[in-house]
Amino acid sequence: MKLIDVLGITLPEKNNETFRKIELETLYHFDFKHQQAIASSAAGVIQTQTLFSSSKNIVWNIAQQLNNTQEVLSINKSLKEPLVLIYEMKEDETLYSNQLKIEVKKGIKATIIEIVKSQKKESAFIFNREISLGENASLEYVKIQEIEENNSMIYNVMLHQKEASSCQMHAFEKGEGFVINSYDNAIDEKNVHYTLNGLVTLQKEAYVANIIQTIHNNEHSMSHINIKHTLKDKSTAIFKAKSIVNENALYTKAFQNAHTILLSNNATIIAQPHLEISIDELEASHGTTTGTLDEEQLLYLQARGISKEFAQTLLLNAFEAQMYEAIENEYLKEYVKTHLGVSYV
Amino acid sequence: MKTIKEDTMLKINNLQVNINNKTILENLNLEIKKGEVHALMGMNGTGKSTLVKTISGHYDCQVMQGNIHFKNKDLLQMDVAQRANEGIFMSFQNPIEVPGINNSYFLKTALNEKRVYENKEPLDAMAFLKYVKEKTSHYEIDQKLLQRELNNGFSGGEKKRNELIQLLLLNPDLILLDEIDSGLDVDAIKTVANVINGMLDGNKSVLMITHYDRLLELIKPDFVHILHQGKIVKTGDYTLALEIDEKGFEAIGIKDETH
Repeated sequence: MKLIDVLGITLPEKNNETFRKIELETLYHFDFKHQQAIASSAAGVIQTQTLFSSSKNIVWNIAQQLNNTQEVLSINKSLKEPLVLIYEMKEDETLYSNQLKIEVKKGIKATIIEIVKSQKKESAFIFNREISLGENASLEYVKIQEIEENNSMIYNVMLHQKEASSCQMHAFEKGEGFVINSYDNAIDEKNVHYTLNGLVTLQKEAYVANIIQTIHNNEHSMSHINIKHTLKDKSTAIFKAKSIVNENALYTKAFQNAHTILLSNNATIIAQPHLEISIDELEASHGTTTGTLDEEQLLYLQARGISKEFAQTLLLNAFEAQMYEAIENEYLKEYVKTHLGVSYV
Repeated sequence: MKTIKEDTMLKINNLQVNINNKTILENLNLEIKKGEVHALMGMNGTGKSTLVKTISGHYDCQVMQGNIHFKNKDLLQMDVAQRANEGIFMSFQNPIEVPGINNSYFLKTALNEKRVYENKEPLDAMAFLKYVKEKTSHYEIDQKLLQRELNNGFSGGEKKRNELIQLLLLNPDLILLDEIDSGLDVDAIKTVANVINGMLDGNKSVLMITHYDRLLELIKPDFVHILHQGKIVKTGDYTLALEIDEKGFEAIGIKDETH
């Protein structure tokens, strides 16, 4: 079966600015031998429900058209240790889909890690994540993507945050496949905090696009998008962030940052930060930097006897370290560092 | 190859160095023996920093002609890290900030790279901390600097103190000081001088660039070289530095042609 043949799935129009330069056609036309819904690994705590609604988001609709069952993970009491959900491709040429709703109830604190991995070939994950945070709820969420080359993934997040809730997302993109991530957050309530940190570490012909849309519709909320890329070989990363601050969203704080280190002449970064602001009473900024490792820093380390290769590793680790240190929950941080083998000081 | 005497630390012959295709040093000759302290003076832009950068292997400096031997080895065949591990230490005029790298981790890494180079066992964390304490305890150096990120957010004085910590730990044979006194108060200059003088054991050599007579007073050089238009035009002893301090470069026949 091909995605393009599934009823209700459409390719973005050529003039659709959000998807410009994002190559979805190969995935849409790939002929998968099998298709299956993959269940979340935390059995027992997850219920299922049937979905009927559709979204304006083109990529969100793909998972929904494949399978209208949504798993629901409802968190009613604060969790001390992170809940870990692991998804693995077990067959070649298979299209896996999964829709999960994560509900963190009023006043509850939770930490969740989702790990997606595969050593299979020509398979794809299509994942939708609907995250609902109740009033004063707090979620720290980590995604670790480790799919091997020749595999694909479409990963959509839709956030709903009630007043004074806090959502911190950390995405570690370590795989070698083709990945499209879409993050949508319409902030309709007051005092909402939303942070999206991403570390995109690519090599070979890996491809990761982050499409991030944040809309501020109410007062005193904060969104902070911060993505770092280190790109080797022929890898490609795309960063498209749009933050809209509407007239009612007084005293908003909206920040976007994308920093990239290119480690090869054949690596590509396309970075498009974008702010649309309708008011004066706010703090907002966006910035992107793209470059290679700092020659002066490299020389300084070498001048103290550290080989060039080791000095490069140290500087890359330093660039990435901030993204690990940004994880607030110590259990979560330790889990991520251990899982990814991060051992530097 | 011409044999170099055993007590020669550094020997530079007929050196020409370009930066961005512009000749900065030309026909420069210099010999530094074990245990000697040499001071390099000269007006701005005469090539003083270029000389120490060339010795340490800075990528800006393109050696067009001549040779440099260090402890009887061809220095120009070595990369920057090799030169450091062979025993050359350059104190940076403006030490670079490296956010994200813990200072203590950096120092331990640098020290262990040198130990491995010398076929010695690397130090573990405990042994390293003991070694740091042993090396720095005689001087007024705040060990809290070790817990911070490498030079990140350090004041000018803290950066220079951090250079001194590195110098003490790495224990080099040839110490190159590029205006280590700039931006330091009188007490900090004393600390610099105490560290350098404490390290001078008759086997280590120093080549220092300074405009400040206070440092020369505290670390008395055996030789003072005046660099002008990329060449050493005059060499003397400490009294030459005193003469320049008193009367300026024009008194020894050097005119500032930049004005």
